[in-house]
Formats: sequence, C-alpha cells, structure tokens
Amino acid sequence: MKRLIISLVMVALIIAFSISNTVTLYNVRGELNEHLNNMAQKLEGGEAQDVVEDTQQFQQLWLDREEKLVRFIRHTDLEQITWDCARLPYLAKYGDMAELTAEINRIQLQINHLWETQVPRIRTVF
Amino acid sequence: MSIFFLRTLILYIIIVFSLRVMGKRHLGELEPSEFVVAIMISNIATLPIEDTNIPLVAGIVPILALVSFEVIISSIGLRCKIVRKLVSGNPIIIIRDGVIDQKKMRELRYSIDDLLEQLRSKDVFDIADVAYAIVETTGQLSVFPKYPNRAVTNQDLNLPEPSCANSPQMVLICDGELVPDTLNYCNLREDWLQKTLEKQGVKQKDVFLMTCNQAANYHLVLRDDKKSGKKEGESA
Repeated sequence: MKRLIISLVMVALIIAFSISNTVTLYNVRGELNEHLNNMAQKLEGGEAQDVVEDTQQFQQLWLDREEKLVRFIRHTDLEQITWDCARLPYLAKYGDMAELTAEINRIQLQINHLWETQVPRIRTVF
Repeated sequence: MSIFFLRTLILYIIIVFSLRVMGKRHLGELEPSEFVVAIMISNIATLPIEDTNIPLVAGIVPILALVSFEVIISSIGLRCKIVRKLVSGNPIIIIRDGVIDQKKMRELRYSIDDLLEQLRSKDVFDIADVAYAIVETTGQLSVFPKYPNRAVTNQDLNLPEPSCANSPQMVLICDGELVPDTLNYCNLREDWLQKTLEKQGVKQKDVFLMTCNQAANYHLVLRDDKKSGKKEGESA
C-alpha cells in the first residue's frame, strides 16, 4: 500500500511538473514573441535607432528565460537561439537591417518550434 | 567532468530509490514487465550521463514514471486476475504425470535442451524422475519429483521434533552493533547477552557476528584481530 501511494504521488508530481513546464514555456514564448514583433514593427516603420536598445534588452531577456528552460529542454536547441540573439545588437548597431529582420524572423521561428516540439500532441509523441 | 560525476551520483540515488519502491525481487525472478522496466531504466539512466546537453530531468522523469507505472499495474494485478494474466501470463505445465506436453513446449518455444538444462539446474538428471514440471511466468522451471525420488524429510523418518526446531538463527550482533529486534524475538534480555559475552571473554565491540535463536542457541564469530578460538555457541 505504501509503495502504491508513493507511486501515485510520483505520477501526480510528474504530471504537475510537466504542466508547470508547459505553462512556463508558453509564457516565455509569448513574452519573447511580443518583443520580437515590436522590434520587427519598428524596423518596418523605419525606427532603426530604437531597435538597438531593444535588441540588447531582448538578449538579456532571453538569457534570463533560458535559465528556466534549460532545466527541461535540450541544451543544443536553446544554444542555437542564444547564438542568434548574440548577433542582434551588432546587426542593429552597424546597420544591416535586412540581416537583422531575417535574424528576428529566424529567432521567432526557433522559439515557436521549441513550443511545437514540447507540447504533447500526436505528431510529437509519435 | 564534475557534471558527469554529479549526474551519475544523482541518478544512482534515483535508481536505488526506484528499485526500493519496486520492491525486493531477485533479478532472476523478475516478471516480464519488471524485467522490461529494469532494462529500460538502465538504458535511460545512461543518456543524461553520456550527453550533458540532455537535461537531467529527461532521465529522472522516465525512470520514476516507469517505476510508478510498474507498481500501479502490479497493485491492480493483485486485485484483478485479468490484468495479472495480461501482464504476467500464466504458469504452464509442461510435464504432467511424468508425460511431457510437447504441444505446450512448442507453444513456449521451449526446446528439449532448455528443458534438460533447467532440470539439471534443479539437480534432476533423469526426466523419468519428474512428476510435474511447471514453467513459471518468470521463465524458471519448478519441478515436483515423483514420490520415490523426493528427499526424505524428518516427518518421513518419524524423528521427534526438538524444541524451537522452527526457530531460525537470527542476527543478534552485526559488526559490534546489537540488533534489538532479535533480542525481543529470542525472548532474551541484554543482561543475558552481557553474561554470555563475559563467559566467552569478549566484548560486544569485538564481535563480528553473533546469531541466536529462541532456544538461546548462539553462534559467535569474532573480528579477525580478536579471534581466540572461542566461536562455538552453547545453549543457555
């Protein structure tokens, strides 16, 4: 009986932990996408100067959020985003707007892909 | 390097805990589902150790999940025969009344060599000596010999039963440490133990192993550096 109770508690904790991680990833994705969309809109609107600071903030934001994600997501997937984020401030500062826009889009796709691969669906489970 | 070490340590603790939760079974007596879980745990545990890009949680969660499912399914199996049958199967009688059931052997893919090997491991070298042989769900063969080939028992010889014959020797002192439960089991007190040790001229801390039963028959083994030939037990 004791073992059964321990097992049921473990299953409940695993489920709770999984839900918590999914919610964390959802919130992080929303936060980062909002930032990225703002930057993309500013670039389209010709406000390139404002984007420099935004890219630095975004990089810092990603580094903070990565601390939480690294506990349950493959590190190689997160590292790719980290490397791409490192390029943003310099692309913004030294004026390569086309590259910057492409990089923002790429990071957005990577973040969405992270979400898609972590959510339990038929195609991700199988 | 330290990451490998720490991960190995953490996973070792998790696996030991998991095996404790699964319960005591000798590796050779595992049910098929338990065997599968044991193999999977060993494979899963190596992944986060080998590759530090994989989060440790990716090893811990599957291990704990597998163990939990195994315990839950086996608990359900205790109450539901259908589940038990689905998960573990049924024991199969392959020798009945001395006759080999060849059809059952074919169904089990059990060859003559397998059968003879299993019989030899049970100290049966003549198949004609076997009345019943059952292949258990663990794959082990249980053998019921024919009457003339069974070991003689005390009952067969009408030997009188000595007192406390059914009382096994239990560990009373282990590596100098007293086991209080054994003292209670033997209905003895600490002063008896102290007097016995004094009679042997030893102290408790000098004892490597002392066993005792309810008839106060004891066996004493001293530590290597304290041996003085006083090892045989005496009844009280």
